[in-house]
Amino acid sequence: MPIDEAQVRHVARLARLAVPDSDLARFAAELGAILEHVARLQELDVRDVPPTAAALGRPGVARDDEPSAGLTASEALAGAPASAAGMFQVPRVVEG
Amino acid sequence: MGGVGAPAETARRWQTVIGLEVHVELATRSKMFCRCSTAFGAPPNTQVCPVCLALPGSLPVPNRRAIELALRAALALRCEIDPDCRWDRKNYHYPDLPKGYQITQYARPLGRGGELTFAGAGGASRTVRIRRLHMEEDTGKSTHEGMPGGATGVDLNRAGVPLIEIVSEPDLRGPEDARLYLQALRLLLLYAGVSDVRMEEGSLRCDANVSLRPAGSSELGALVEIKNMNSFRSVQRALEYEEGRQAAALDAGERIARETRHWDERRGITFPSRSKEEAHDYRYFPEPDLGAVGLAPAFIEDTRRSLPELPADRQARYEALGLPGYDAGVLVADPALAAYFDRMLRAGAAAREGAALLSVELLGRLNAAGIGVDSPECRVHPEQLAALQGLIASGSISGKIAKDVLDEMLATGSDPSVVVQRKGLQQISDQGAIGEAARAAIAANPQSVADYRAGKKQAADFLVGQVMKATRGKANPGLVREAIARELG
Ligand SMILES: [Zn+2]
Repeated sequence: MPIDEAQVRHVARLARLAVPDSDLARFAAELGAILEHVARLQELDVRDVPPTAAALGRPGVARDDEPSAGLTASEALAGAPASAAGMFQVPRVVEG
Repeated sequence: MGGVGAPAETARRWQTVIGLEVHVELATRSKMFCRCSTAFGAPPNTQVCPVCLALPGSLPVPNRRAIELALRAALALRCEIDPDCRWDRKNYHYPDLPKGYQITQYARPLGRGGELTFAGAGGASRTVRIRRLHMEEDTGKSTHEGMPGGATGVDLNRAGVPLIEIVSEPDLRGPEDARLYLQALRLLLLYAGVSDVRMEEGSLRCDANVSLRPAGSSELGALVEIKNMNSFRSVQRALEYEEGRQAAALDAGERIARETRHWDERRGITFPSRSKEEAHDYRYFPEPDLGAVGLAPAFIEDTRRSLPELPADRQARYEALGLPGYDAGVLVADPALAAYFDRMLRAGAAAREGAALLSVELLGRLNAAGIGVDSPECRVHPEQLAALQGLIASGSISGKIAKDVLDEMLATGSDPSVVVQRKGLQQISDQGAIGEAARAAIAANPQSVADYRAGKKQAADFLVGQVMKATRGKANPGLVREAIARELG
């Protein structure tokens, strides 16, 4: 399952990863090899195996609707690179 | 175009096709996947925890009540329920989405194939098909207010609040129908107890897909998505503007671009959003941290049975009792008012007359005083208003006197029979007393009698009025009329 450099550039952008052009060929080869490896699963006959989305999550697990205190604003913001007025501060985003 | 609809000729040439995507916050106390409070209006980032902040190592656990409320909504919309519905990740980057993905339902939504029937433009019955209804979590909120140097501030109190998204088929044919559908949907969800559906607080949000096609065609035109419509009125205005804009462009031979546009409430226009090239590349995949929702058949049936009477059924019940459609609609549109009316019915009130007394007389007075019908300040209970209607029906008091009695009831909280007794307002139906009053009126007004005999029959009305005045409105008007006619020979 080969992938080309344009696909590497595209998924890197979607993941907000800065991949230098000089690395594109190497990543294309490595990602292609991983996909090829995983694609071998296609050879298995799974006609009688029901599909599952999660390996560990049991169906129907849920909790009651009881609120409880979480973190304070200062705890929540402690790891933020910048904050102001009780908010996470990020570069300006304009919707529209 | 300034927000006006398409000119009539253009409207005949193009057919408008609208589908709505509606997000509704569920009425839970805690978030979808963590125990943080969902209360509205708290200071920024005071209702957050490691799960909704996406701190490493935290894991989501679904809120049972949120699932139940979503199921109620899906059942109220007559959706087919998928008991094995799943969770998926929708991947994108935005500052108000800490995980870098939103947990939603993509491949296996909770509900599919529902419908909502409502009174559309001009009162005509319309049915809109529901394509899907799924659960998801809300994002945080961004703001520029109070931030230094034009930076953006992010408040994550809303991140993880339980939502449902309700996607309609493109079955709406005009802006007014779109607004009426949205209002009917709001009322349905309010009745079903799913949400408080306050559009001004953002607990109901709406995006629209709009396209125009040549009248008679069955193909869809290029789809334009409209965002940022924050009130029922702005939904209609934005769609009217967009309908006009697209019709004018098509008339001029232009092509409509498939794009997302924002509604500008102040300017009354839509404008294209800055397009993000990867905007629709969400790379959905199954959420590995969560198992299937797993709805037991008995739970689905119990939830279905626990739904209250829904607006369409209540409307039909009131109409079957003889209420005109419009009057029934006024009551149904306000759950508190309809509940009040139901208590009046249980207390024996006649439907038509009781409804008029409630929605004209009582509501008129309460609205003037700024009091809700379900407020403790409303001192007239449904059973008392039913009793007042009974006094009118039995002829004990006239409709006119009833208004004075109602004023007194509102002021004192007394039963109507007590007010009538105390103020001596009992209707006079005694033939002898009325005959005497009629003779007195005739004796005192020889000119009217002369006019009457000269052929001016309306002079009798004046004499009837004189009797009513003399009895302070308490005489039975029908009997007074008869007595005057008899005495004038
Ligand atoms: Zn939380």
